[in-house]
Amino acid sequence: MQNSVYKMNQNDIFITILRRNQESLLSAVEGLTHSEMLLQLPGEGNCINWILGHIASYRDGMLVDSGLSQYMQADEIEIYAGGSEPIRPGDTCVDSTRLSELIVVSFKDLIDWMQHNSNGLSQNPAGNIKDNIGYSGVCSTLTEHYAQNIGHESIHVGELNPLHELVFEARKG
Amino acid sequence: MKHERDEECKAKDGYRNLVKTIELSRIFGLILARNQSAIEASYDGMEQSDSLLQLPGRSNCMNWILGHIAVYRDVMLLSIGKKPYMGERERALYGYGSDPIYEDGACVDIRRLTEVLYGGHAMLSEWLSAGGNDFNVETPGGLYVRKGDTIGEHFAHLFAHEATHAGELGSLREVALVRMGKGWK
Repeated sequence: MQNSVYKMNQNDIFITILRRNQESLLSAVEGLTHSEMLLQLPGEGNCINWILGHIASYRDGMLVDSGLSQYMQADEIEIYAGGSEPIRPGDTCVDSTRLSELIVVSFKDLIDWMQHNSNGLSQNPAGNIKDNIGYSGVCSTLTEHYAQNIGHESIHVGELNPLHELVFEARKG
Repeated sequence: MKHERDEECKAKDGYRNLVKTIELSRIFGLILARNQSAIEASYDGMEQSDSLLQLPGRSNCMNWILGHIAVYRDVMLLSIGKKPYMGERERALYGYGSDPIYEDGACVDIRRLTEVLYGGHAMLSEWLSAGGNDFNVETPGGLYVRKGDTIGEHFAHLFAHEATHAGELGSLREVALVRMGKGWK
């Protein structure tokens, strides 16, 4: 291997992964209606609406950890928390347009914060990390919480691909 | 005095770099562990025929996704000077842009794929936990895919790529469980 060319830090890693996630998220929901985002695949998987709300709530967890404000209300978070029930047509849920907007604003806030706080992730998390959304039981630092939440987000982003395909199949009738 | 200050600064820089290195290893280690856990949960109890089930649309089957993740794990192994697991024929079946795999098509047995994934995970985990890794070194040339100029950037892209494919496995497991007449997990 050759000599060092650039000093990478944890912010760079998280920004890289978050940008990839965001690109895939926006591409998966572009042009879909709310009802299309409630379509289900066979089995006990989740619909696009649930996945969007779940990701938005975990992003709120990172915002709070970082000393920023969260976007979702407590009753909204309850619908999309880890272990919450799948959402089916007719169930109470947040409109997919609002969830898509939350995905945009939370992404912007997180990227801005990481870009303007080069040592921000080395600080202690705001509040008690165990009370914050997305606490996995195995992390104690802000960096670890970001790693858990962003890694968790990437996996849920992958779940959107087959659901996106399902919508296009449904449109064919 | 100046010499002492220089030495002190060097020591502080060295310490900061060491802390950063440990933090980067920890981040990648956590993401890799999460990915592997999702991958193993998806194929637990699945057989070859289950791995070839298809979802509606242009999605890939479990067999293709497992092979695809294995190919990209090999890229990570090669990036840090380790030997890959998959041969050229296997890489052609599961590499970027390769054809979808159907029931009657050529493919690798799921048992081999899971062994490759297990082995690749163990080697990468061991490397990440060993400490002293420099993520700022230039990514070697000649790799099957090269996603960044430094190993850190390259790994960030590859771990995220792996995670999104790991996420695709959940609904394929569900299809298999439905066919078996079983519930969730």
